[in-house]
Amino acid sequence: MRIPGYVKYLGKRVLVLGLTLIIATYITIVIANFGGYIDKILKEQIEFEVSQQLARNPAFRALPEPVKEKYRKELIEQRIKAMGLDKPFIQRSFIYLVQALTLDLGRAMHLRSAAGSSKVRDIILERLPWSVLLFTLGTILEAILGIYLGLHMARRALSFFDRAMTIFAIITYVIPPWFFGMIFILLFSFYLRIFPPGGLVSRPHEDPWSFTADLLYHLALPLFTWVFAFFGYWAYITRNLVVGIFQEDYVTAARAKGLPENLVMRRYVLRPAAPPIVTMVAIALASSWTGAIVTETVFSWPGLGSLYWEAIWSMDAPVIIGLTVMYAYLFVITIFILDILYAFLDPRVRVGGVR
Amino acid sequence: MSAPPTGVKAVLKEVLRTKSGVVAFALLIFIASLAILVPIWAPYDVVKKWNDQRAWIENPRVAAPEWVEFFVGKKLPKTIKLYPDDFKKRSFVVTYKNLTMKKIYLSTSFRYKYDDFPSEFRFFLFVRSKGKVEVTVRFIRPDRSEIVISGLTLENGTKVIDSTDELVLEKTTEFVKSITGREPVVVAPEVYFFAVKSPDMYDISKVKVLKGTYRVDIEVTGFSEEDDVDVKLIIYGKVYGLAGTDDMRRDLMIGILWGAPVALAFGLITAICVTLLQTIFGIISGFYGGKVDEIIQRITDVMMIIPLLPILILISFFYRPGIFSLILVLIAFGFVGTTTKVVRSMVLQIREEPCIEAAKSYGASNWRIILRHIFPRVLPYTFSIISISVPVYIFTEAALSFLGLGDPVLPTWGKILGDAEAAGAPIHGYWWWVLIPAGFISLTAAAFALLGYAFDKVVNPRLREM
Repeated sequence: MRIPGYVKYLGKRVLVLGLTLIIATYITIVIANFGGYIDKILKEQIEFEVSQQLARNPAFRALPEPVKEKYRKELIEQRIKAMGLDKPFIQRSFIYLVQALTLDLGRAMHLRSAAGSSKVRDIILERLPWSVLLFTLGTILEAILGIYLGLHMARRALSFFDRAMTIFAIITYVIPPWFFGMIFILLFSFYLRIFPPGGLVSRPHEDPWSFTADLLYHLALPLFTWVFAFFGYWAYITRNLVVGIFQEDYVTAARAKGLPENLVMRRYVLRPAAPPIVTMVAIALASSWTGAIVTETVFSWPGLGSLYWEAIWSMDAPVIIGLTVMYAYLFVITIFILDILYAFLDPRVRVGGVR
Repeated sequence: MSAPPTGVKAVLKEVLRTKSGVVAFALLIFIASLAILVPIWAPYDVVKKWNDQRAWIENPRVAAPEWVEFFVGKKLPKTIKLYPDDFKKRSFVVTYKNLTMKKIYLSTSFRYKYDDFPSEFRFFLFVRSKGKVEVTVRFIRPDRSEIVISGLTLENGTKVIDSTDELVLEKTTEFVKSITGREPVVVAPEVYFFAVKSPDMYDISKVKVLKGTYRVDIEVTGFSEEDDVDVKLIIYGKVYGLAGTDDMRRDLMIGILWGAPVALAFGLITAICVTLLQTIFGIISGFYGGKVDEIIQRITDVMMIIPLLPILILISFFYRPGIFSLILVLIAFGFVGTTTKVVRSMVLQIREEPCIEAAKSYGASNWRIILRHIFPRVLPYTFSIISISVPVYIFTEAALSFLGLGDPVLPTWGKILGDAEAAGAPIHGYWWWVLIPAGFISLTAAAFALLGYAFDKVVNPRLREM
C-alpha cells in the first residue's frame, strides 16, 4: 500500500520537531544544571516530601529525636537512589530530560497557582489557556487583516497605499509588540481612558456572561496591540508573493477568459499563494511567542509571559525552568499546526507528490 | 528587468538612490554621531553615577522635561537649590559663669515665580556639635505671614527634614487651620507653604500659587563654642532637563544618551557576527553539498525552532551575564538560521553558472572560488539581513533588560523602559519616561529597517520592478 504524501510529510516533520523539542529541553537542563540548580531543586523536593510523609505518620512521631533524624536521612537517601540522583550527570541528565518533558519539575519556591498548588506543572498549566487565547485570537485576526490588506497592496502595487503599508510593515516587523503596548497603555488607558491598563478582569464574576464581557473588555487592548504589531508583516509577505503570481500566464489567461476578478483572486491567485505564505510566516509566528512574554507582562495578562516576570522577581528557579520547557513545546506545536495547514493547502503534499 | 548589481560599491550607490536608503542613512548618521559624541561629552563616570542613588539627590522625582512648558502654557517650577554658601550666617557666643551658649542665625531668600507648586522640599541640616542643638526654622512668605517649625533638637550629623516630615505636616495643618478654621483635607506642605491665603484653601484643588520673594530664617542654639550648623535647602520642581527624571531622580537624558552607543555596539556586533556565520554555513552547505549539506541543514532546522528568548531568560536568570557575554550567547545560538537556508539556495544557483565552471577549469581551489566568486555575490543580501537584524537584537536586549535581567551596570534603553514599567509609568502617565527612550529605540530600529529594505530592493529586483 502506498503511504499518502501528507502522512510521509507530516511524519518527517514530527521527527524534526520532536528532535528539536528534546534538544531544546536538554539544553535547558544542561544550562540550568551548570550551577547545580536542578539537583538542588529535586533534593529539596525529596526532603520536603519525606518530612511531610513522616509528619503525618503517628508511629514516627513517638520515636526519640536522634532515631527520627536517622530514619529521615535514610529515607531521603533511599529516595535519591531510587530516583537515580546519585548517578553521574550524563545519566542524571536523561532522567531530568524525561521529567522536564512531562513538566515534572517539582515545586515552585514561592509562587502558587490560583488553586493553591505549588507544583510547577499546575502553575504553568493554569496560566496556559490565557496565553493561548491571546495568541490564537491575535494570530487569526492578524492573518485575516494582513492577507486582505496584502491583496489590496498587490492590486495597487506601487501606489501610495502600497508604499506606505510597506514602510509600516517593515518598521513594525522589527519593533516588538510590547513596545507598542506601553505606548498604547499610555494613550488609551491613561489619556483617553477607553480601555483598562491590564489584568484579566476587573472584579470576580459569578455569571459567566458578565465574566466573558469583562474578559473581552480587558482583552481588547492587548489584542489590538498584538494585531497592530504583526499584521503589517503578513500583508507585506502576501503582497510580495501575490505580485509575483499576478504575472503568471494562467492568471492572465483566467482574466482573458473574462472570469470575475473575485474568482480570479480566490482560485488563481490566493490558492497558489497560500502555501508559501504559511512557510514564510511560520518561523516569525513561532518566535512571536517570545514577543508574547513581554507583551503579557506589560498588560499584566495572567498568561505564561507574566508568569516569567513574577518568577524572575521572586527568584523562582523551578518555574523559570518549567516555563522554558513550556515555550519549547509551544514553539514546536505552533510550527506543527502550520505544517498541517501547509500539507492541507499545498496540493503537491496533499495528493502525494514529492515535496 | 535589469540584473541586480553585484559589487558592494555598486549596491551602496543604488541604495543611496532609493528614498528609504537616503532617509535611513540620514537617521543612522544622526544616531552614530550621537553614539560617538556621548562618551566624549559625558565620560564613563556617568555610568557609575547612574547606579549611585546619592548622586541624584538634588533632582526632582519623576519630573517631566522642561520643554513641556511650551505645550502647557504655564511656567512650571524648576528646582531651586540653596547651598550653604547661599545662606548668610551670623553667630555669637554668650558665656555666663561656666555655661556657654552659641547662637547661629542663617538666612536666605529666593524668588518663586512659577505657576505651579513645587513637588517637595528638603532641608539638609549639617550639624557639627558636641551635644545637642536646638533649631527653629522660620519660613517667611511674600505676604509676611510665616510658618515656624520649632522644637527641633538635633545631634552631630546630617539631618534631613522634608515635606513629609511629621513636624512639618503638623505645622502645615496648624497654618491652614489658623486661616480657614478647618483642617486641610490633604496635608501637602509643598503646596500650602507656597499657597495664597484664602478661606477655602483647606480644599487643595482651590489653592493658588503665591509668587514673590520668600525668606528662610534659621535660628540655632548650641551649648558649645565650636558648634556649627550649615543648611542646604532644595525646593524640588516639577520639570527637569531635556528628558525629565525617573523615580530614582536620575536624569533620564544621560541614561538615554548612553543607551545609544550601547545599543548600536550591541546590535551591530551581534548582527554582523551572527549573519556572517550563517552566511558562511550557507555557502559551505550549498557549495559542498552531500553529507555536509545534509548535516548543516538538519542542525539549521533544529536551531531555527529553538525558543531563543526563553533560553536567554534562563541563562540570564542563573548567570547574570554582562552585555558582552550576552553577545557570545546570541552568537552561540544563532550560528545557523534562516540566512543559512537562503544563502544555500542562492549558492546552489550560482554554483551552476559558467563563471564557476571556468574558474574550476583553470584550476582554482575551492576556497578561491568561494572567496572570489560566491561570497561577493551573496554579500549584498547579507548586508540587508545584517541591517534588518540589528534592531531585532537591540530589542532582544531590551526585552531582557525589561524583565529585569539586563546588564547589571550599563544603562540601556531597555532597562530604562523596564524601570518605567516597574514603576507603572504608562499607567501613571509619566509619558516622558516611556516615550523618549521609546522614541530613540524606534528611530534606531526604523533606520536599520529602512536600510535593510533599501538593500533588499536593490538586491532583489522583483521588489523594485513591481
